[in-house]
Amino acid sequence: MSVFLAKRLATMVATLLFSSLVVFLVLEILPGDPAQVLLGVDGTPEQLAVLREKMGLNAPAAARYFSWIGNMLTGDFGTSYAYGVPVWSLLEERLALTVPLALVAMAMTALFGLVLGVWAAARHNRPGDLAIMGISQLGISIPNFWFALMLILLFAVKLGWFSAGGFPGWEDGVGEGLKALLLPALALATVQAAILARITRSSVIDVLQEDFVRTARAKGLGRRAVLWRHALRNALIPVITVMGLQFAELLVGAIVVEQVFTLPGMGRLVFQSIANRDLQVVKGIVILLAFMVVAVNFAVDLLYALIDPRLKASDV
Amino acid sequence: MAEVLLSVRNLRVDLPGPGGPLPALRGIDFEIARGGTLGLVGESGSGKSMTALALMGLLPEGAKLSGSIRFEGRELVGLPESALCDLRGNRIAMTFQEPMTALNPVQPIGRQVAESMMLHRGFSRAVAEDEAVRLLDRVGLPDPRRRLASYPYQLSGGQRQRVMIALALGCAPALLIADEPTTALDATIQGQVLALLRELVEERGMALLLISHDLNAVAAAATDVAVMYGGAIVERGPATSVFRAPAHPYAKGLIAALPALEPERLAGAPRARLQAIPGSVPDLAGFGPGCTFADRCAWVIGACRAAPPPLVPVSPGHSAACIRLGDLS
Ligand SMILES: Nc1ncnc2c1ncn2[C@@H]1O[C@H](COP(=O)(O)OP(=O)(O)OP(=O)(O)O)[C@@H](O)[C@H]1O
Ligand code: SF4
Ligand SMILES: [Mg+2]
Repeated sequence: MSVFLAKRLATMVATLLFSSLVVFLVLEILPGDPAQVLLGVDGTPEQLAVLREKMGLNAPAAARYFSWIGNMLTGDFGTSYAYGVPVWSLLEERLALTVPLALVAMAMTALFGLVLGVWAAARHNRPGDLAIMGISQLGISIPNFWFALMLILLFAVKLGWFSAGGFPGWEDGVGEGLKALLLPALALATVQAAILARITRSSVIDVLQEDFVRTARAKGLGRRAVLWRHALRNALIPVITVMGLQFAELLVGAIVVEQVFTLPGMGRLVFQSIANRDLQVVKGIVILLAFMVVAVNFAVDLLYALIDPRLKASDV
Repeated sequence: MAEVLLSVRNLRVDLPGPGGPLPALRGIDFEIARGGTLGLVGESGSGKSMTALALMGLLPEGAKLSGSIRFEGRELVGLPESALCDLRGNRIAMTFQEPMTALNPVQPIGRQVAESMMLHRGFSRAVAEDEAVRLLDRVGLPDPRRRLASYPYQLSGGQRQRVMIALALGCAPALLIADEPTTALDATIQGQVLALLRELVEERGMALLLISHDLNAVAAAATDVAVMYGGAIVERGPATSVFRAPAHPYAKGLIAALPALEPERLAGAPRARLQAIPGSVPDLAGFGPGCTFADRCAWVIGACRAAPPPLVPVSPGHSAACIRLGDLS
């Protein structure tokens, strides 16, 4: 078990280092001098040289890469060129919206996807199953942003149950904040829940064909008991992999949906920072996203080890 | 003869096929006495597992069952699912052909063995697991208390087969169906598992339906034998009589292919495969209305293909389904 964990941790660190290198190199090659952007078009070459020196842009690339990594390890993501404040303070504010948004969407995905998938599998090829399959096919083909607009039209404009956008922050209480995230999360979750429902269904159906299910039936267990006590845990193994990938998709999807709902999350910050050549912020965001995706993958590996005893032993 | 425990009459199973129903069992008849062992033999695809699944009420989706299965005086055909659940794992138990895949890979074996006792006997987990330790010990799993927490992947094939047997014995069934209990094992282990089954039958007064295409195993363990081909029983009778004087051309071919039958030596001897007869079993759609063996039979005549030949007696308790028995002997 500990070998399994150690290997996974090493992979996680290597992945992060690699993505940091890629981010650094891409931004290095990309045209646009952040000092020039900051100075504006009126700056003299002397002013530019002074500013470049001050921003540490004259040091060799390798030195800048390592100091960037070293600083991040101490929690210092550098200073935003555009705002003149620590990058982390900008990120922190936006993360407080985007991460809860992705988590709420993930919870909805898991709830609807798993419940509907298992329910459909238990009624394989009967009307309930076919209905779920039809609805999920529809769910998969709906574009995120269009569905988001429809939700706003219906629930905000027509029914007035929710506000059409904006975010009150968490100061007024968790309830208010969550309420503002509900529609955007629903818009995000629909496609993923539909995908998860289909994958869960086919995984459960596959497992129900397996020999050990027949053994369980031969003990005298009814179909339902076999489903809950024997099939489900086995069926979850592939489903969890998919859920890990879906979390990454939800994070990326959040960036788009935040625009539609005018939520001040990571999405807006990304667009602004790229436009401003605010490279420190861009790098910080990308590394954080990479970290979250890698961390979720690690959590998936942990879940695997919990569900499947064969993994604990075999030090994969 | 001892009291009849199981009596099967004209049992048919039709599986849904692309061009209409396919007959997987074509109206078979047999009996098992309380405490008796019936060996069911035949090539792969002859319908042995299908017979077992029909008895358990666990046929594949869409299969149609007709005929009669009387077990302990009760008719099982047409019994509601809940009543079948009460019988399964309780009065009738079954071990499956593939010990590698027949156990739940993510559950410790202790829980798997204990489950039927918790279900049918209302035992608590602790009591059921104590009982599981006794059973695992009885079937020869070393260090059973510690093994309760083992997962199937941590056991050898032979150990898994033993766990399957323990799992089936939990509620002291009156009938154990063992589907190919030795096929997946190597020769020495085969002999041990077979010996274990014989001991269990002896000490518990349990009846055994021993399914195998290993004739040696059946010769060593069974009191009676039924030979299947193409979803039909082509010959059945007391083991000694069938093995000494097989009457049906198919059974003759099978048994002639065996080295000298000496039951004492046979357990553990290398498997005699049923390959002495030219040709192979056609799939279900390939059988005509008459004798299922007609396409491979050296004595076939036109009349063989007209209607299924009935079982006719050849000696006391011993009968065969062939219209040319008189010409053969
Ligand atoms: N689920 C199923 N659907 C359709 N046909 C099936 C199914 N299971 C078995 N069959 C067919 O039914 C026939 C009898 O199969 P069965 O499994 O009873 O054979 P068997 O005698 O147990 O052979 P083996 O020695 O290979 O286990 C075969 O022709 C097989 O192809
Ligand atoms: S009935 Fe005819 S085809 Fe069938 S076994 Fe007898 S001789 Fe052969
Ligand atoms: Mg079989």
